[in-house]
Amino acid sequence: MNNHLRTLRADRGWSQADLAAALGVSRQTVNALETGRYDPSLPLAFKIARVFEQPIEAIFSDTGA
Amino acid sequence: MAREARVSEQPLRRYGAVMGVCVLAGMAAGAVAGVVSATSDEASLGGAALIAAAVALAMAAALWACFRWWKGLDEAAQEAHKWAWWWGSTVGLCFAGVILMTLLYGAGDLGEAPIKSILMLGTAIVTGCQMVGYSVAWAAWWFRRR
Repeated sequence: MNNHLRTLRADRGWSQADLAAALGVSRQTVNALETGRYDPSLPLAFKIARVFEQPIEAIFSDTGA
Repeated sequence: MAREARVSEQPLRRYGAVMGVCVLAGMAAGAVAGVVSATSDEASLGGAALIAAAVALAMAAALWACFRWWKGLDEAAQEAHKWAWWWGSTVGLCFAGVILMTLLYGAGDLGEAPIKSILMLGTAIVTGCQMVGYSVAWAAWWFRRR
């Protein structure tokens, strides 16, 4: 699964630690999410969407689709 | 909706606290076992019950500490531990099986060792291999996602 987390974060001038604090996860988790090597759970995906004020589909895309 | 757990901001300190509780609980149970062994010449049902109770209390304390620690982990950290627990421990168990079978049937005459020593050696081999496997798998999970 691909995502635009890094771009969205950079557009807002947030560090990974800032995003991690907003999401209630560790910075390592944010890094794993951004590299696309860890897919979030549904509740975390919804939280990410709320933080960035974007629909989930605008942030995550399914590579198998 | 399930209540969200608060992710720990100092995971190493929290992990150290859990290890501290486990060590203290183990030492307390060991102290009880040592006193029971030292104060009675023969094994008794009462002594065994006392040791079992002390170890059970130590296990309960360790599980409580682990539960508190687990609730402070975020979902990726929990996933890493679950993956490492399954694959790391399973592979470690395979290694332990090789070692144990080799010792049992391929190492020749090992002499007459006390049953307790044999039991502890087998336990140490299995848990040691599983812990090494778990640690390697946990590190590999995070290394692949850095």
